[in-house]
Amino acid sequence: MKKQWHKPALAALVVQGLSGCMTVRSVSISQLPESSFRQSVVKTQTSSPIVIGIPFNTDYLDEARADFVGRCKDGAIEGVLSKHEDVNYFIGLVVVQKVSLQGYCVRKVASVSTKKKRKV
Amino acid sequence: MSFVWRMSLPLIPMVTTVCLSACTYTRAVSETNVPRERGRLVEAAVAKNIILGFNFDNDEVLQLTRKLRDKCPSGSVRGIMTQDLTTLYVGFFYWERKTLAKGYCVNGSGVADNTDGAARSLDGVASGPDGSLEPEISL
Repeated sequence: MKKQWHKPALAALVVQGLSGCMTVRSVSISQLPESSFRQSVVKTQTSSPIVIGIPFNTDYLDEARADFVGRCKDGAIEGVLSKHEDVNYFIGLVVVQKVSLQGYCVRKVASVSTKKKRKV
Repeated sequence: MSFVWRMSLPLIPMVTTVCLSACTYTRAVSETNVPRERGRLVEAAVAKNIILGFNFDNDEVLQLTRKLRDKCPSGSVRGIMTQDLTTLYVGFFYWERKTLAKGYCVNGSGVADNTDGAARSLDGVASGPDGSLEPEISL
């Protein structure tokens, strides 16, 4: 009976180890389009693990970009929010790096031309 | 403490050093608006070697814009993704900080028509492709 406290402590440790604590590393946002152009949202997310401090690659960044751009082939992507974050598991022994990209796919071309204005 | 354990203790930092050598970590990522017309992909990078953590400036990053511009002298670079990477060598004693920028070199008049919302009229003010605001002039 004296060692009964081990069970909840172990359970708490397992829960803490399995759960992911997230840390934001960097965030950026670019120019937002007008509200009428915010209809089509494109987003993508890729990740890469770091196990005991050993990362395996940085290709997930290029994969994220390729996937992101590929989701809006016939338009421009504006209002891009990029987020890079770490998710820690097992008290930091395993870290999953995540990069998320989100933006608006703008397919229509604006009728007003800057070049036209500049001629004056 | 057993003999085997005592003998293996010095190996721990050595193994850690070897394991972490040439490991590349991502520090920061950013992405700007991606243009409709995606031309040639251009890439530029600046790097700095840091020994024992001594670093007194980050001025090398300022050259990144010029390097990227030189890769696309006759057009503009849009859809720029930047990556800030750190590569460890010999454990934590020596590392390289690298900042990478990739974007699309867009040529011609297609640039002004769109891309990052530059050409749209907004309450009487239009912004140029370089992001600078200029007053709208009616023809």
